[in-house]
Amino acid sequence: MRLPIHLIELATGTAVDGIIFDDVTLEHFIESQAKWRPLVVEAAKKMQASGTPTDQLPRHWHWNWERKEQQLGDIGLSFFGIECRGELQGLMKVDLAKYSAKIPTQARAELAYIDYLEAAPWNIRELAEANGHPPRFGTVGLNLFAAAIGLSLEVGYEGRVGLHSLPNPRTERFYENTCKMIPVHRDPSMSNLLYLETTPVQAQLFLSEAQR
Amino acid sequence: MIDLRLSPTWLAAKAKEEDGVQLSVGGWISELSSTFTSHGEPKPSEPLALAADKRDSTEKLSAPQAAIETSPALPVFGQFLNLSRREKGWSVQQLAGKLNVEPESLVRLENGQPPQPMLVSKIAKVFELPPKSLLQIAGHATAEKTVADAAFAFAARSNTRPLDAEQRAALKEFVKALASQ
Repeated sequence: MRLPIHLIELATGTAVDGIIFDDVTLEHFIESQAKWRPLVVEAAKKMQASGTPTDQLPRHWHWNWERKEQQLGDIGLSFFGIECRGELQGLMKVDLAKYSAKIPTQARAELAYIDYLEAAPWNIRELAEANGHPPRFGTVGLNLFAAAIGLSLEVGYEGRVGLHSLPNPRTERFYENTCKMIPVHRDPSMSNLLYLETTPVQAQLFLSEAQR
Repeated sequence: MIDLRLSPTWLAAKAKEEDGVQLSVGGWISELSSTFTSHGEPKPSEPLALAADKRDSTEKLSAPQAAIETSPALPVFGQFLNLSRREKGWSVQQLAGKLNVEPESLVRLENGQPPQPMLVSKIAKVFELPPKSLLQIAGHATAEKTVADAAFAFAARSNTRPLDAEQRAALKEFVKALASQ
């Protein structure tokens, strides 16, 4: 299914039309592999050459979406993509089967776990600027996060969503303050990444603000 | 897929909060651990991006991480679907139309192939059942004891012959047990 959304063109601050879809195919993996990865690697090399500390280099170059092809048909996984102006702007993978809630009041309730989320490199300021241009579209992440909440609602998980944030204070604040997620704990099984969740109440709070 | 279109005004206000945030989440860390176990940590002197290139050029597509740890499916989903469809008097083709899937997919489900969560959700909607219970039966969530007991009782009482009165009663009882969750 394909639904209209808005992204924000960062140069002008104006809303532009985009599409979010859940019928991600191998072609989308190939497109991201062909168009995104070289830009991410190029930016990482430039950042490293310019003296950016290793721990500040982009993390997402480790990923290779093409290798996710075999997961497309897997039970329990859902994939979402965003297109705008004819190009793939973001991808997300959500696991509906493997995880349950960790917040005590929601103990063991099912949740939608965002296993992977990524915006195209030209939408990520640090990568775009390393490659010599300003970032293009904002709110790819927020739209994908909203889709994860929608999926959670659709399958009866009542809006519960969980994820591990990258170890960056600003990223953690974004998930807590903007996405209304609750920090649960630093997960020793995931290199002490901060694990966050939305409860049904937090999900509704996010939607009530975001759809106002 | 639910239409949760976000307000352009809100998005414009929040774009700055997202701008510059490293949003990528999750998967990379587990992928890193498995990758580096088999290929070794990049050496400090080795440019990280080049290390990634090297890794990818030598790496075969990983086996599906279908090590998806679903709960064991209760052995009744297909049978339940089959009987529920027939109880409604629908053909496979008719139900497939309602679910927007190919009839072949439905036949496979009725014969025991596990359904995807989104399809379970659609099936629950068509038969007016709580998706949570059906997800448990389909193995996407750990079945509560009441659901598991009802499912096994249902499995023990039903078969694939045309619905007779007892099967109809068993099906109704099972539906009632699911609906009460």
